[in-house]
Amino acid sequence: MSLLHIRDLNVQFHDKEKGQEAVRHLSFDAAPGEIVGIVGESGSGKSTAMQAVLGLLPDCAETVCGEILLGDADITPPLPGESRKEYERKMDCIRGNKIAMVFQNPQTSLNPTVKIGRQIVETIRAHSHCSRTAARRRAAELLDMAGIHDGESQMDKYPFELSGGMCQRVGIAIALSCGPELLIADEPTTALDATVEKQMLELFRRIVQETGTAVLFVSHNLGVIASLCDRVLVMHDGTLAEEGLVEDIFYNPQHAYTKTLLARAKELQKLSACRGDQKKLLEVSHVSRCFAGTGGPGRRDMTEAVRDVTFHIRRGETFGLVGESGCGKSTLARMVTGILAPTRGTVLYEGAAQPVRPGKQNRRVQMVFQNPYASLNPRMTVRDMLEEPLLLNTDMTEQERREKVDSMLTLVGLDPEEAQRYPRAFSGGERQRIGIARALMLEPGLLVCDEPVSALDMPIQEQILELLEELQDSRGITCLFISHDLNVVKRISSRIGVMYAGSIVETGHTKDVYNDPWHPYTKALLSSVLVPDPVKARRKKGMPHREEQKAEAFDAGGCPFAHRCGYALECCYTDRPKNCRFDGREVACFLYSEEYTGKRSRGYRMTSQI
Amino acid sequence: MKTYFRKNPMLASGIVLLAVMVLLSVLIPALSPYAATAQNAELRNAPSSFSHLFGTDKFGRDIFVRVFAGTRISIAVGIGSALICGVAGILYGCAAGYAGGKADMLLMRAADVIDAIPSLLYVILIMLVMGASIGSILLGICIGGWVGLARVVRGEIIRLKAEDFCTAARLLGVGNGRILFIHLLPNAAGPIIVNLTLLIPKAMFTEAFLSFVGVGIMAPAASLGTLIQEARSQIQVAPSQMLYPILVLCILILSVNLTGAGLEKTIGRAEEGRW
Amino acid sequence: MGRYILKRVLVGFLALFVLVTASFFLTRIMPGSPFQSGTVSEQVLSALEEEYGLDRPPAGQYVVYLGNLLHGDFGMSYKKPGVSVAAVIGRAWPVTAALGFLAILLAAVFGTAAGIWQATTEKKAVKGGIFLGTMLGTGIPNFAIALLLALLFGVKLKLLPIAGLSGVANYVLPAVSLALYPASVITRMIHNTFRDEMGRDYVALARAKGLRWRRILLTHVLKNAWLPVLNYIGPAAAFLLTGSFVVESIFTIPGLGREFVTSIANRDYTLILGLTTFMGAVVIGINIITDVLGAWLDPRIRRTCS
Repeated sequence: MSLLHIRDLNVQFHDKEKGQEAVRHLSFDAAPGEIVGIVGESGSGKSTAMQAVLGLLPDCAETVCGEILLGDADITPPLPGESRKEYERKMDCIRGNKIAMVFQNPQTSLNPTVKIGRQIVETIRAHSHCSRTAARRRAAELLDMAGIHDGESQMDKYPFELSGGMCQRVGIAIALSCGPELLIADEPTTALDATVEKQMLELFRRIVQETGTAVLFVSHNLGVIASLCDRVLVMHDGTLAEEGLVEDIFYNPQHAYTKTLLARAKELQKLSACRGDQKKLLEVSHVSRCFAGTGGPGRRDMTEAVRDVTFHIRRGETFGLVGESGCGKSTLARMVTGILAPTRGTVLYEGAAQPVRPGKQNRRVQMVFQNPYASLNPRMTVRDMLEEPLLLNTDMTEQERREKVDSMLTLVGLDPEEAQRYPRAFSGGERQRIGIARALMLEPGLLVCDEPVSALDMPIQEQILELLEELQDSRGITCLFISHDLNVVKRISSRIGVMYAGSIVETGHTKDVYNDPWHPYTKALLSSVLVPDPVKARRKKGMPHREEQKAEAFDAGGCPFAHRCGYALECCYTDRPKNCRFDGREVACFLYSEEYTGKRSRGYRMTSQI
Repeated sequence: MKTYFRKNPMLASGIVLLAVMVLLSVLIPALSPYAATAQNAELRNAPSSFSHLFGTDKFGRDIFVRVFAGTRISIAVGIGSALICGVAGILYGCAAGYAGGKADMLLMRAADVIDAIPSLLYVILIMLVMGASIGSILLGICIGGWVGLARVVRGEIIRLKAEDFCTAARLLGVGNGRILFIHLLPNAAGPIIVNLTLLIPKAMFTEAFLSFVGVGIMAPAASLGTLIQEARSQIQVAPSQMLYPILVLCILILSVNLTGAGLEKTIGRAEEGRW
Repeated sequence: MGRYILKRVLVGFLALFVLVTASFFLTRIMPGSPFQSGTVSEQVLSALEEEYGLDRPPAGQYVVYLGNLLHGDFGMSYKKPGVSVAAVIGRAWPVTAALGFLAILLAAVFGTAAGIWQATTEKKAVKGGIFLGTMLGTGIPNFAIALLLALLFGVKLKLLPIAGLSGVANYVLPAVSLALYPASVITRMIHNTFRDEMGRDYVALARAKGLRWRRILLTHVLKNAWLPVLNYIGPAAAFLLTGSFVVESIFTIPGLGREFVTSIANRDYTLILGLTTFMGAVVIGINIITDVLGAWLDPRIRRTCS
């Protein structure tokens, strides 16, 4: 007996210019208590299909569907042209009551000017007749179930006062408020940090066990799907490419598309080889950066976005910097390039300090940016953009400049013929290639890549990473590679630094750090990495951890991680741990200090303390 | 071109209307056999006829010519003030937005002060001091008229300054002037154009208002505001004398508004990447 | 929040000070003596100038004027002997305030309703009709509207009075002609913000929660859409006050605007100065109140500033 039964779902968008078919002939079933994963690249129609089930698509979308059944109820949307009135009335009782939905971006999907308590209470009261106080009590229970334990006090907060993870928990509490039979989760963890994502997946699994609701879980991330779902649908170009149990899909894929998708994901699992020599190219020592408080007009207090960071990069190597959003990675990158001046400390490139005056920055350090749409000037052609640095910094003739631009475009895998076009004519991956070409125009010594693949689909990510590796081999460029995604960082870097709340907590060779993490935060980060392998993913144990409390981390007098750390000692809350150095590896944690382990002889070999 | 206009009927009709008004205001006072201020005692309050399309007023002056002479003034004031306020606003906004920090704070507080004062109050005083002329009307309008545009430009510059392409340009050695004028301003063109077109009807309205109140263009010179004011006394006998200038003024402001709304739509589409 | 209010009030006082100073010296450099009218002899003229303190240097006059202002003394009218400017304001202000309040109320109610209707209806004709209405409403100057209304309802149809202030009916035409422009602006603002807000994620979530569409619009969306409108009330007040100049003179209503226009015609400089100062203060005050109210109603500003 299936809970949800969909036959021949088609959705077509009627935009002004083109009639685009987003979903074609989609049919599938979901059983009660089952977690069904729906995986596909962006634009494969997976979200559209989910919205069509609930009838949430805008008017420009035309839904033609053979049949949608929820248990015994027929919730087939009316054909275009038919009256929607009766359908809408029917759906008002289904939405939120029988089928609930969790959205991708937790912070924008809650009304910013309404307290979260009210947003839960109104859902409860929309579907059941109960008093306001009873609904409030129920709301507190729901928050507790979703992992917010002091629900009563949190209910008077506004969404912007909560972190992303907390907001998503509120979103889940809203979805659970009427005990739905089916929960549709549309990329619910994509906007969250890795450690929070892991917690969220555990929460979903617990909810299914406790309430027996079925879940349709949409995600582009194979790791997420592998660790959570029982059954998987693979979508490609609006059609269902393959359907099966999670083990069958991951270990024995039939469809060609699934195979390439998995192969690309496996590529990303590789560890990078060591390269580079011993000479230091960039030395960052005791760098801090303060910003005036962003708490609105009149706030005077300063927050330290980067706090006492020390590391170096050797010539020819790739140094990876990994950390959650808001941990200060981008600020650090901007200080390395000289766009931002450090408040304290020095950044030395080839032994000389980085100049920070506008227009006087070191042109040997260039940058590749995260968002390929914002990093190219939309009003300049690609050729103008690439020629500009040559025009301003060299005295090449026009002919030489043309040739240089053409050769650079060929190098990054683009057709020089297309150089006359504007950036909007290119796809995300192509734009990122243009961004790389622009960074290479002046033959830099150090390339700072700030999340260069985060905005791209997984197969494109792999292509860009390959391009960067090729360029490094052929041109001997040193790379500082920054990402929130440990998978990507370890794929390309020979050494990595792990950043938390403005400090680097651990550095070392990728292989060492990845196989044997020392710092509790590194360990938490690693345990939250999701591998596209159902068996391995399920074996992975979570870390002992507490609620995410980011704001505290920056103000903490002691170790920034102390409030979330399962191993925190008393001294962790009061003193900052010093960097402890063990051949080629550094870790900032009291567990590795001499005070904790006792005096050590010279030949002492440190091992993981956790 | 045809399909383009069909896509955006507002812009098309706005531009056509505006072109017609400009053409009429240039041609009619130049070609008409009657001068705008020539009185004819024998033809007072005449109704519309073939020789006097809109009839004549209480002094026997041809309203048709006077209306379009007034339109000339309206258009001149509108475009002139848009140009002056445009240049001032863009420069001020650029300076505040690009400099940032303390300078930005001071400049914007000054703008706040100017903006807090209702402009028509001091414009009237300025008119009383300077005497009625197009120059003093322009001065009055432009003293406070640039603030709104400056705000918009400053906001855009601050937004664009933080974009990655600006950082990239700085890393590649592009200087301040080039960043501002090649990289930032062209990307702010959309909102700037839309706000410039908003300034024109506002200035036309102010001019008509001042003339109506009696401190703007003075009779016998013809401005749409003065014409309406003069016709007021004839409202019982010859209401059409009042209707014609009102109609022309409305068409004029409407055409600029339509053009502005159309431009906004076109630019909105362009920003989304669909021309 | 406290700092924000303080900042707004400081800017307001500074603006008022600039306005008073500029107006004062502008009225002093205006051509001709206010008492000159041909028949007045030199002696009478100098006696009058002495009585009004015009024989002292302008800087001294300015200090005296500022000092008097602080006590609420706007000086005496030049042209109406024995009448103080404060008395004129005291008599005319309630009329103008009532008219302005009525107009703002009309504009807010009809603007909001029309904006919501335009944003939510599926009928092309309604959408286009309201759009055309706002286009006309912002395209016709308020004095033209006032004259047209007077012509139609007063002269042709003889439905409503167009002169004097004898009853409630007298307020109808002036209030409508003042309200049309701000109503159109509010309609357009509500329409635009509604269209934007309706596309936001939280509306999609509210629908997925099973809330009725009407409820989502009226509780969730309307609150967020009204916040920018609140900030418009300040500029609208400025528009209404200056609009009252023409509307009150057209409908012969004894309010501030008509006093202002007559004082311009009479070149009654103290009255011009006093009315300018008073109206500037009113507009600046309304601006501050609505801005602070808007900031306080928006939890994103209220909660982060305190």
